Amino acid sequence: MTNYNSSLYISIKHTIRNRQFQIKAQLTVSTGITVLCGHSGAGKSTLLNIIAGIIVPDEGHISLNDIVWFDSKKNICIPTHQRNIGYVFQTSALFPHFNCLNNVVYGIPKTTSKQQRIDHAMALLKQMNADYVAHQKPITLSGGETQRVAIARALANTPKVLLLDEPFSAMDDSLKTQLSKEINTSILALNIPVIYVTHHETKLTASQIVTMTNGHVTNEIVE
Amino acid sequence: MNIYPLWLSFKVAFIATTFNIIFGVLLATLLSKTRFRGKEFLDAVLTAPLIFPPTVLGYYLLILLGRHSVIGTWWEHVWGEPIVFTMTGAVIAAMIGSLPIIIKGTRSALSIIDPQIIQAARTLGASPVRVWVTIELPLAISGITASTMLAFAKSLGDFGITLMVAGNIPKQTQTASLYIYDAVQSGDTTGAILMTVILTCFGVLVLYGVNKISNQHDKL
Amino acid sequence: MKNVLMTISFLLLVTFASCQKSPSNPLQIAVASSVSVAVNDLKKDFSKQTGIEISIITGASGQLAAQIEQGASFDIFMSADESYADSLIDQNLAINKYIYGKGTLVLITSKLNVDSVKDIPSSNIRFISIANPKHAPYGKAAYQLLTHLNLWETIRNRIVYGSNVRQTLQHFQTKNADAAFVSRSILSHTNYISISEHLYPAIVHAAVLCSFNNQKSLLFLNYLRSKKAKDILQTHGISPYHKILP
Repeated sequence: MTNYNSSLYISIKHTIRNRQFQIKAQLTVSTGITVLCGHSGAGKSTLLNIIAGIIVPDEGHISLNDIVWFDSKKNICIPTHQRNIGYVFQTSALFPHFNCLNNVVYGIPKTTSKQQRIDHAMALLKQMNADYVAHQKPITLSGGETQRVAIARALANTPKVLLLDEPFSAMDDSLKTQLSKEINTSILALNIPVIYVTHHETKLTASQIVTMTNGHVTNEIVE
Repeated sequence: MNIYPLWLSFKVAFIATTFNIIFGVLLATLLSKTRFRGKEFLDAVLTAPLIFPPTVLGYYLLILLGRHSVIGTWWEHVWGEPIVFTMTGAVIAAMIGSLPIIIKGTRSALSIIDPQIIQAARTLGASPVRVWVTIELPLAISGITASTMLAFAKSLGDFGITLMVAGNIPKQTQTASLYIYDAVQSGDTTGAILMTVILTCFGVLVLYGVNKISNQHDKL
Repeated sequence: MKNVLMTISFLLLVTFASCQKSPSNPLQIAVASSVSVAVNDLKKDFSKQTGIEISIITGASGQLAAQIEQGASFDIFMSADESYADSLIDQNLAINKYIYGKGTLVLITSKLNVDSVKDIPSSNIRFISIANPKHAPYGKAAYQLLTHLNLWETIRNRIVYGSNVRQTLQHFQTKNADAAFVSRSILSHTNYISISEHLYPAIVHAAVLCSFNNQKSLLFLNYLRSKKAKDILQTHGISPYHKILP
């Protein structure tokens, strides 16, 4: 596991078509957990989508270390599937027609044998304490279980950046606390930039907290 | 009873539907994913056969694919026989009337897939083609299947377009519906009734199947 | 809400308005496709003379006869084959049969090297269209002609069927068929190849009265007997028919 400090640099402007406000983000996300707070509707999910390449912003620049993902001036735009990102959605977005194991296997590159990929997937599920649901379909799982699987799946691709969009927002406080504590160690151990979106407090060890207000991101450094 | 018209109808409908699945799913994907000038116009043109009188469509086909048209002469040059008055013509006639059904059904089935599922697949490194094949099509399969069965039934029963273009040649292009029409006109009521009953039973079976497939999700 | 009510009232109004009977009921004449062009001329002349409007419905003779058997209400049926007329009379669906002439079967073709029916097999005619012999008199005549000349088996793989003489002609006009057997009376300007009358059974055209107690129908049937009508029919290849009595 390489120990250098990764840096995700974001500087973008984007106007959401149906709503009148503009998203303006200027921030650097380094290895470790960056918590992104803000009220609902402030544009946090949109920003994550922009970073993931799901939405192409009007102008700006996004790069990870020396790899440019997006540059409006130079007309560069690398598609989502080539950015090597892990993304945990608020609603998990697990594939309903695959069982949990195959959901995770889907993200593992086909550079190893089938059995190795299955083993790798099982290891990820075990890490998330969800190996016991491996052969069940997502629809049979509880809220906590689906998000565990979703996180395991997001890690399948050995991502260079991990994005989490309020993954535990639909849960009660005790479950939320428990899950946050569980994943804290795992995602810190990845040694990659992680952006964790929430509009509550969180129990994660954050290396920086930034707040988005009406589409604008301001920096607050907490050590 | 003369078995040929029935056999020919099934053959024609089967071939027509096979082509329609390929074109229909591809066109539906194109329409739902891309944005280009004239897209809505293309959509209207592709849907038009559902609302046009069949004889009008048949007449257009006769002009566009006839032996003196650009397409018709080329085809005859390559394959040695024309489109009109052959089983090819009967297949195309059957395709035109039922392709819109598959396009609409597929497009509709694709559009209700949660976009985040597609986005999740992309983040996991899947190219748009891989996502389409492994995620979108499987999730849309019941909509595609139901519309395919409807399209097959419609191909089976096509009359107006086939009448204009196929030449009603016994054993070659005289499909069941043409046969029934002829039988009624010449007073052969037994032949007509028998074939009508068979086609009706088949049609009901298809509708039953379609309903079963479409409604299986209601139980959840 | 107001818009919805207005639209509904408008639709109801239009529906009721179209249900009203038109002040003058035209004469409904079912005409075999093969003689439709000729009868159109008759219609113009008759209307000019009497002021009575005629509405023409065309189809193959067998198709129209079948419709009448199913209850279609035509005033007069002008068949291209007397057997259909006879059949209706036998079923008490029609009366007053009048033979208005016998038809002429002709061959039309775009191939220059074909001068007669016998030239067909050796020519490069790819498709010949005939009306469906099962219910169209000219199709039946064409079939009988070709059988009589021993050509049917040789060329039957080149034959396509139109559901009536009009569609047969259309196959030719759209250049999909290189040749077609049609009635002389459906052609207006096309060049045709004549066929000897004795090579096929006479196509006897008969008209019958289908609606009873109708003054206008009787007037038209009388008109058919007039010299003017016979002249018009003659110009379209429908010549007087004299039954050869044994």
